[in-house]
Amino acid sequence: MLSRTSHWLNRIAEVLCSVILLTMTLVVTLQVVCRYFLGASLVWSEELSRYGLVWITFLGGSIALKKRAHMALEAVVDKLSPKSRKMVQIFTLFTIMGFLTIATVKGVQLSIFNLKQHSPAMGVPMGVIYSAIPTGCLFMLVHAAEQLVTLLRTGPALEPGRTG
Amino acid sequence: MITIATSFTVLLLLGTPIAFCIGISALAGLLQLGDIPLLLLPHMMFQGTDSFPLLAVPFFVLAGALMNAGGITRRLVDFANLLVGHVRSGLALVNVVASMFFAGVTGAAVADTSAIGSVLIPAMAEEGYELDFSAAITAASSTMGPIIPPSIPMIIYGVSAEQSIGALFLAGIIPGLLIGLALMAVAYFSGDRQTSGFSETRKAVGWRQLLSGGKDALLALFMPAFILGGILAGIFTPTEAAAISVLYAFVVGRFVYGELNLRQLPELIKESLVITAVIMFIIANAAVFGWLVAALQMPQKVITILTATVSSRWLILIMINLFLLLVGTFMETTASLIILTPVLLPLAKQIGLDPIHFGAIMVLNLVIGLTTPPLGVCLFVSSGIAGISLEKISRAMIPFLLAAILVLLLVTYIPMLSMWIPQMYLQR
Repeated sequence: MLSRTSHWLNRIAEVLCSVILLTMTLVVTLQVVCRYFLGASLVWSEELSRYGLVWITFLGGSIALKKRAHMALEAVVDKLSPKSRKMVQIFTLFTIMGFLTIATVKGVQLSIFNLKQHSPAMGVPMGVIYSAIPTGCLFMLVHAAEQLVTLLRTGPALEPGRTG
Repeated sequence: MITIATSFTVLLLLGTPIAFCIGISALAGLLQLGDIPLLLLPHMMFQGTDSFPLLAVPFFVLAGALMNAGGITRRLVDFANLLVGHVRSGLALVNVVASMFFAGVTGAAVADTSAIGSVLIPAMAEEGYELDFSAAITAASSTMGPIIPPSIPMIIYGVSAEQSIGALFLAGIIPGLLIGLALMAVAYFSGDRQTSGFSETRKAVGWRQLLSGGKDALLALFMPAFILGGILAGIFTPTEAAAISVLYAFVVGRFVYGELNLRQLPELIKESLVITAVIMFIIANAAVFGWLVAALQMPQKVITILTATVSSRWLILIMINLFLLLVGTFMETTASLIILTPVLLPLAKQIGLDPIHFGAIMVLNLVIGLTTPPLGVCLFVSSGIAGISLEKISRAMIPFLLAAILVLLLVTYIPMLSMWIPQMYLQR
């Protein structure tokens, strides 16, 4: 159940982020084209792509967590015996989950506080944009929980993933 | 302060991802300060990532991935081979020159190591080079990636220090070329012992061949000129240049070289997303950390302590150099830049350094750290490709490392090396 949720959340994040990245590329290019060839600047393009980057940071961060691609110093832990390495990983996962829980809760509050405020160029409620943070952190929380459960259920110590 | 430092160090040593080390220790700091609403945490995370200049990061990463898949890397290596392949210890020089070219299309060191290494380490093995030597020169030459423009670390420094990214790009040109020359000198003299007899059989190619090879690589070589030229002429911002270079890489790879398969695209995008998110998530967390650093008035304290005990400007610079080299070996470059720029830049200004010059020093320093044993990431990647132990590559690395450090000292103490080109441009 948990692993299936984690799997599907990851699929959703991958598709969303890919769409956002492509849109940003086109929008920023369009911005140059409009300014130079049509002589008119777009007002919304910069804002749209900036907010896209915020979403990629947090949703993409969850993809990276799922793949265990977040950069870490592994040289010290690698020296430990498999058993103690597993203990250390359980401890760090708990710490990360505690942090993510706080970030999610505070992120939800921040989003709600800012629902009535609108972005200057596009007029989108800022709360919608801030919600990238709790959404991404919640996704990460699920992935971390899934890794923790796998670890507790007799699984051997997790191997680090690779960036890219 | 002690809480932050302790929790950070412990978490780091336990193998917690660096982004979380930063976030969690910053949160611990916030809790310890007491009366600070925790809403600050998501708020600062947002502030840190909501940035137009930082948008250049995903674009340059994606452009690099597209160029790799579209056959541009191979053509750069081929062209480098035509240029210097026939010289003594030729392939070692090819490795450096190809990295130099590749540095013009990518802004990251690790990308350079894996792209050039996977092509050249096997080729060098075939010609009789020792694996440790080939792996070491691959790792060493990839330091040019983030120094020769475009450069992701320069963008991040520029955002953090509020400096012109265009000027920072320009500041990297001469230091990057110097690193290349220094590495080639080392390779030329030390590679000779390993390949006696091999390079003699190769002949210099004629002009015609060189021209046709150059034509093949021209579209790739044109990239950095296009990016820098466009930024300097004020046609587009670095971020816009990065977005256009994504389209450029796509068009060249797909329609000119015809090697980019549309089916590869989702995988390439996903790969770039992960690399981007890793960098950006560190930045998000480091923004919270940065707020604390400012609230605790750390820069002022560091300046007061240092300037009270050390009077010599040269000594302070040496200390900064050593400190950054140390940090660079075990910390990710982005994290180091975002956390340390606000602390060290005021100090650098205090002793009369230009922020652009200091950017070149900082980036060079941290990037050399990426290839410093025992923890530099590029060493891991390169020794992984070559299939040798970290100990072996570390030993082979020493002469290259010394050469890079020599360049670092030159760049630190001779401001003209980094400032000449930006000043020429700025005076216009």
